[in-house]
Amino acid sequence: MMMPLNQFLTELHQRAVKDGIAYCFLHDVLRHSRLDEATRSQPQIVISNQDVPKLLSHISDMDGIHIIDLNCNYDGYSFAVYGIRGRDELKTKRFTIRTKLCWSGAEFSFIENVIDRAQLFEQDSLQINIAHPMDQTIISFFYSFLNTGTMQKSIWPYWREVVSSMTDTAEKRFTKIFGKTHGLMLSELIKDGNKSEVYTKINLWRKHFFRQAWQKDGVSMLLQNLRFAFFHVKRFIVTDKQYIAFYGVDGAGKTTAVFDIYDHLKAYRDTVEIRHLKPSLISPKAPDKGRVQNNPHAHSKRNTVASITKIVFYFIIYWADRFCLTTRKRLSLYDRFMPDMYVDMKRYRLHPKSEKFLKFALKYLPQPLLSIIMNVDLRLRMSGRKSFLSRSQLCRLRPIKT
Amino acid sequence: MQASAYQDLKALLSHHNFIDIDANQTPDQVVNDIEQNIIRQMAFMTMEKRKKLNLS
Repeated sequence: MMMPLNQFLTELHQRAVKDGIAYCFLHDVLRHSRLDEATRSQPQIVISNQDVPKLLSHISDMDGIHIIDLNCNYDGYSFAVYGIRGRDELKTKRFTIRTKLCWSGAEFSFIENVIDRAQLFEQDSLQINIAHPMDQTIISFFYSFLNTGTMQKSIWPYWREVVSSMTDTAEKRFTKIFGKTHGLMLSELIKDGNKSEVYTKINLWRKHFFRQAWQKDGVSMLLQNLRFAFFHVKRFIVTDKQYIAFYGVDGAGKTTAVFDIYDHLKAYRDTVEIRHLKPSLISPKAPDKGRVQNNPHAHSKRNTVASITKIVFYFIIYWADRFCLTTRKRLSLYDRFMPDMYVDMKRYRLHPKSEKFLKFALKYLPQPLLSIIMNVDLRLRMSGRKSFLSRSQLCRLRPIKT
Repeated sequence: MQASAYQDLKALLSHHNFIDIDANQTPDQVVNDIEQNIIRQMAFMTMEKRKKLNLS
């Protein structure tokens, strides 16, 4: 059901007054869960980016609705507004929540952020769904975990209160969105369990949900193709000392591809090995497949001298690996190669001033046999993995349009 | 809008053998891409070696 902005606002207000609790607006949150089914019956509107601030100011003027948290989804055009009932009830809570905003670290300047990101992905308008208040609770609760793996302390008692006060509907809504087993478990956990239990449980599910997302946006297809290709191509790789490098954004499937291809080639020849970013001077470590770095950009950057030293060190060990260290012939599969430093300098804690030097060093780096750039739809990856990057950095990490 | 970092990288390392793999490609396309690139690169490397040894 589509409607213009004014009509939408009046309807929203009526609903809020009637039910005594505010509705939230969602778009595309957890699109890989069953949310679509849950919200299909609710009204939707499409508004232009310029109207976003207007809409938000309208909402904050309405009786009974307060914006307590704004969540930007990082895929450019989606956001959620959470409102709760009664100003007086929330007077004390509201400010504590407001000052300690929010799920994903986005501040109230987020409106600009939403518009920025919408422009980044060339979206002219926002499509907004209204969800049932219970969906809002569940989804924002769950989604904050999916995004960050952490949850703000001050929000926890609030969600718990909401869920336990709506006992009958809670289970229904949970099961509708997450399926029978997961939904029931989650609702029970929130009602009775302690916070750490919920925490570990949902962290376990994160993998499951990311895998679903993978299947949807074609990463698994891409991996399958690569596996197939290397199965056919292996005879062309002469048993010389060679590198094959893999590039791509976080979550593009580099590591999985490397491990897959390693398994394939290992059956065919003994001299294959996996390396991450740099050659190890001693024997290669046992690969740790399960390790996930939550925020590789969290560390502060090094100063110029340290950055240049790092580049020089890497440059030397790459060449040392090429010539001196081992005479044994082998094929190295690199999960990230040194040029990846140039793509995302912040990740490797390099000072921006060292860029020229890095460029110079990269020109004389040993050349891999093949450099494979894995392109996936950035929108989806943003929502899950890159939620900590600024807009300009996101722009630079866009996959190449072919 | 800023250029993509990978495009910059490609321009910088034009002598490297970059291949873009997309989720929309068919398996055959991927095989062709990789196969041809490997063959080309192997040929290129042998040429370089021959040049260095003054064989050509």
